[in-house]
Amino acid sequence: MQIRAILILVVGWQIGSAPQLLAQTILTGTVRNAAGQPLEGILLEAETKTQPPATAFVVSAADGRFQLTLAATPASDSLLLSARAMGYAAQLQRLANRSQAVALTLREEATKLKEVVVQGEPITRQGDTLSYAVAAFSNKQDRVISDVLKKMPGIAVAGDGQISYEGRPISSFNINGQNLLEGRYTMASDNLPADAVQSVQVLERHQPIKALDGRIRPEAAALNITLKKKITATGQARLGAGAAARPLTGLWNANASPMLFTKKQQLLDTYQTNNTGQDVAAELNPLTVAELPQQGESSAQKPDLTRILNLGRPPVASSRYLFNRVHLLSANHLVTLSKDNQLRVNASYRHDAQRQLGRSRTEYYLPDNRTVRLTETKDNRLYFDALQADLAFIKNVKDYYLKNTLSLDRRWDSQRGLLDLNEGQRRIAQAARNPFGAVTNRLGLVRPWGAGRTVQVSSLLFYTDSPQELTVRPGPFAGALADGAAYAEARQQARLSSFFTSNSLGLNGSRSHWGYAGTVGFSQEIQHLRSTLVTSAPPTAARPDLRNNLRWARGRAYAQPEISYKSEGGSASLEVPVSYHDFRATDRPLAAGQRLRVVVAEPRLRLRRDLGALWYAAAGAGLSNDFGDVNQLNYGLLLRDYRTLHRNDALLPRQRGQRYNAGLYFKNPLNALFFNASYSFNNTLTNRLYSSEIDASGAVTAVALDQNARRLSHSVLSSVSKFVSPWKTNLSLQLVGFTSRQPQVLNEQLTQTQSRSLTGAFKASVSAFDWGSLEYNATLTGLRSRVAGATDQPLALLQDHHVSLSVFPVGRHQVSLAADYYASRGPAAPVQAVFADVSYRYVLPTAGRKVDLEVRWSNIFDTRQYQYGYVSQFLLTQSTYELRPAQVLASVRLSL
Amino acid sequence: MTRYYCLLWMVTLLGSCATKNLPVRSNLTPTDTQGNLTFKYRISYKPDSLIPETSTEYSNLLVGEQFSRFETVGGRAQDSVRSLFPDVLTAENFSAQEFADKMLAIPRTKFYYTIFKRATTGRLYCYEKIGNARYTYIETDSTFKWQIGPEKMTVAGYACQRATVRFAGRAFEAWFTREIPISEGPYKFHGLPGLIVKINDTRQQYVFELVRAGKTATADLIVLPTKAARLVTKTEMRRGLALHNLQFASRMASMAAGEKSLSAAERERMLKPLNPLELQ
Repeated sequence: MQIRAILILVVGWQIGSAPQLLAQTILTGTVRNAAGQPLEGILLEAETKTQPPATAFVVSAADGRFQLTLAATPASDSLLLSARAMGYAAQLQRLANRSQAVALTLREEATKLKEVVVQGEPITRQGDTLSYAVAAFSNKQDRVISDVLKKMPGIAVAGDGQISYEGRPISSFNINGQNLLEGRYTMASDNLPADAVQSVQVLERHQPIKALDGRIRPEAAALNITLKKKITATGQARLGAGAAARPLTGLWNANASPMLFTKKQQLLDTYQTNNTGQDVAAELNPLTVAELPQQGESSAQKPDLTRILNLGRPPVASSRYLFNRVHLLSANHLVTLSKDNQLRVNASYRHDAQRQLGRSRTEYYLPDNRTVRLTETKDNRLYFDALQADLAFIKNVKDYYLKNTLSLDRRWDSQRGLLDLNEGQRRIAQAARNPFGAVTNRLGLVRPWGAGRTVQVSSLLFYTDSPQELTVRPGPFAGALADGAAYAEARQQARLSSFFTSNSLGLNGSRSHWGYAGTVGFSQEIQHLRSTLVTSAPPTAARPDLRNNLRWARGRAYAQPEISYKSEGGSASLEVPVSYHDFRATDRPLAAGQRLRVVVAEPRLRLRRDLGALWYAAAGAGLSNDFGDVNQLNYGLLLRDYRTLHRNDALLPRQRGQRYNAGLYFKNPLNALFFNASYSFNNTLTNRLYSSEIDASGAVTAVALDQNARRLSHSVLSSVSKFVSPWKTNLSLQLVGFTSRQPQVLNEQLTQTQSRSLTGAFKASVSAFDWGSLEYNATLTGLRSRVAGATDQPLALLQDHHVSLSVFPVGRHQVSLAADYYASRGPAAPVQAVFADVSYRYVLPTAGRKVDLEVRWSNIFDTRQYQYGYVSQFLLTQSTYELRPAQVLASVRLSL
Repeated sequence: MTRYYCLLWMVTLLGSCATKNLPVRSNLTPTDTQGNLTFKYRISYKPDSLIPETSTEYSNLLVGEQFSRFETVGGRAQDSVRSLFPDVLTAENFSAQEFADKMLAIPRTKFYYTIFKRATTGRLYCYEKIGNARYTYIETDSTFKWQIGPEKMTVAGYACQRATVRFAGRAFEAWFTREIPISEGPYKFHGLPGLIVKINDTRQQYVFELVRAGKTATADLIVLPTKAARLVTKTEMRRGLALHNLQFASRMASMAAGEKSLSAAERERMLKPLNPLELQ
């Protein structure tokens, strides 16, 4: 329906009058529509053409009348009259600058309201929640949310993807308030497009269990990702192909990660494959601890009974040295069954074939001034096949928390290694199989019990089995295993099966400022280690020491009272767990065994005090008692690798520790400044002291002495970060100092060794301009070790610098340059390595969906080797790692 | 008391009698008007001018044909829950837990005012509660003496122009847009040739920013609550609020002597009045 509104001049007594110099211009009238009805609330503005202009503004009154009075100065011969209102098309008329009558026709037209672009403060606080606006921190080359998280002050993302806030790892990573992935959140943080995210919230001292909310406040913060839309279907897909030179190899890298987030369900599936050195398996590593801490001295982890001799990892990014061929499939689904019940499935399968190439040269300086040299060239192939599945039922409401997780873990891993020993020109073939299976069930229950009290029940149960096998050709340790005669093959079979259960009942409550808690529980571990070492040498005599048949049982019963005090200005808590341990180890065929029954107390004290609104101080002290496990006990011989033959029949290792720490924390979200500094001191007493002896062939024999050894260590950590809002620049600096002192037996002489290190890390990210951004980080480490009575070792200096520069020359093009520099000098030969990568990205002009084309040339200088040296008083090791050659990869990436 | 009611009624009538001549746009009573447009503003403010910590609240400006209504999200929610109070308590399936949960779930607020503006008359009605009683005052000379400057900037995606004004002891800087041709803004601010997208005092202690603009989905009547509110002058209102805060603080102090004690810091915070927007 079109209603015409006509502006009619009703009063105009000045019409026709002579032009008045230096007099006000007065425009008067009434706004009416076609039917002669006046219109209220029309905005009328008049403006002269001069600079600055004379202006006037009125709103038409209820009877449609208006009067605009324009100042006489500055003089102007024309003016612009506008009439605007919601629901009408704006009218503009140029008029002569004199008091006059004007006829305006307003046409009815819908006025569109644009979407409001919320800029706001980059960081805002509401109670215990800090909210970071993603738009304030992101720039053009950011694709996934972890790219943006790295730049938020107070938040740090480690190389493995672990996110920390104020130096503490976060306790959970939620998307729209739901925890889909638990500890494996890098799958989301590395694949969720940053465009889909509205804000990142840090929930300080967040309690994920609603039944404990307001009763127990953990120290760690949780992260919540708030998406822009209520229903979000997103994710990313990437497909890349390329080649590496010398030898010419085809390369691929593909990733498809669809995601769906709704109120009722969340879904994240991912399939990733590459042979470009990207370690996607890291996404499966859990990075947080359980919501309800479980008392478990043991965990369902794969034991390392026997293996091929590994190469170790050079201290450069894994993408530089990892020769892989990996496929990873992961499905994660969270369904809200009813209002309070959730079901979650996380399942993944990984297949990976890796190859490691390298050399190591070790020189031992023997007491008689002789030097033993050992040069090994290694060619290892590692195969991983792993299936992991978690099924969890969760009910998390104000008066009830129940979570049961059933986990399955099955692995079919194997390893093959070829080793060339320069001394004696020998080639050693190693083959290992180390499959593993585990079933774990975790149950946690929290219920309120009366006013201010809650009861917690937790139970952990698992069974694991790992039958492993190592074959070495030709047979090693001829002296110990075949009376000195060379033989063809040694085969070590070892199998460890474990059953473990831990159950506890806890009660906690509070009365005004005081909180109290108590937990009682027990745990039982039953393990059986069976091993057989078979050689191809003709049997000469019965060798019962080539077998292990160790039965191990460990029981623990404990009570853990805790008391805490909380006030506006701070909090304090003291817990005093008292445990009764019963260890029993028996190897009946070898007629060996030991038993230990002991009661230990491990008190811990924590204090926190708020110093004004922005500062707080925290301190803690505690005693600990740790005992060794079955891996540190075997009465028969066990071939760990081709040059380690192991027998361990010493007393069960025991460590008594004292730990003290204190820290000062500051944050001012208003100017985005964060600071913290902490100090800790550890004093550990161990009942074992290891003594190393090297024979002329380079074989190392480690002997455990029943002698107390005390280790003292101090560490200092401080970091400061600041976001400069107008320049979109985040700066952070971290300093870590560490010193420790411990005794060591060298050449049958007891000495004190001391090692010191100081590390400084600086990070800067600048995205001030539209046309580019710069990121730089550097780490500088100084190390020195000292042996009492000996001359000082020279200072070892390690440094690495990473710089990356992105430029957006025109519109949709982007060029990124990145360079890494590693250098070390000190006791070993100085080493330097430079890597450079360049990539070009083009964003296709598509509406809505972001599609990028990217060409990436990595390792431009074709740096093929990296050397790493280690020096101590009696040995020098120099390892050389084969690196990935220069490679070019072209890929297309789109946001789903 | 009736005198006040009469006065208020008259004022309301005065403001709306002219509508009699208007084309019939809706068949609402003169004091009721259909809210057509809704604008959400974020208020970032410093509760204590000495501590650089900012608090955030959200507020809504509902604009109708003749009136606009401005209130904080928390203020409205608390008000509506409290008005339900008697019904909920007498309901058959009353659950104390549910009620407590409801009370806790509503957003907290520091601002309990509701401001009705009539742009064409420059008249402004401010409703506020002291304790449980409603009071209202009218500001007739509330037309702001805006200085419109030449500076232009895009704020929240809208092309804006800068304007400044002195109000209640503070200097304010506003960014308004002609793209939304309504002479409106958050709190009491209005009178510019376009909607105020952002306004802050020069010390950045109060910042109002537009975060959402839209048409109202469902019918939301702007009802001028002519009943049950006592008409007072602005000076009386300010004095009343100050007195009430003092009484509240002394009640808190006596509570502190009781079983459920407040910490010294908590008490101090309660005693300390909020850094107000209007200093004079």
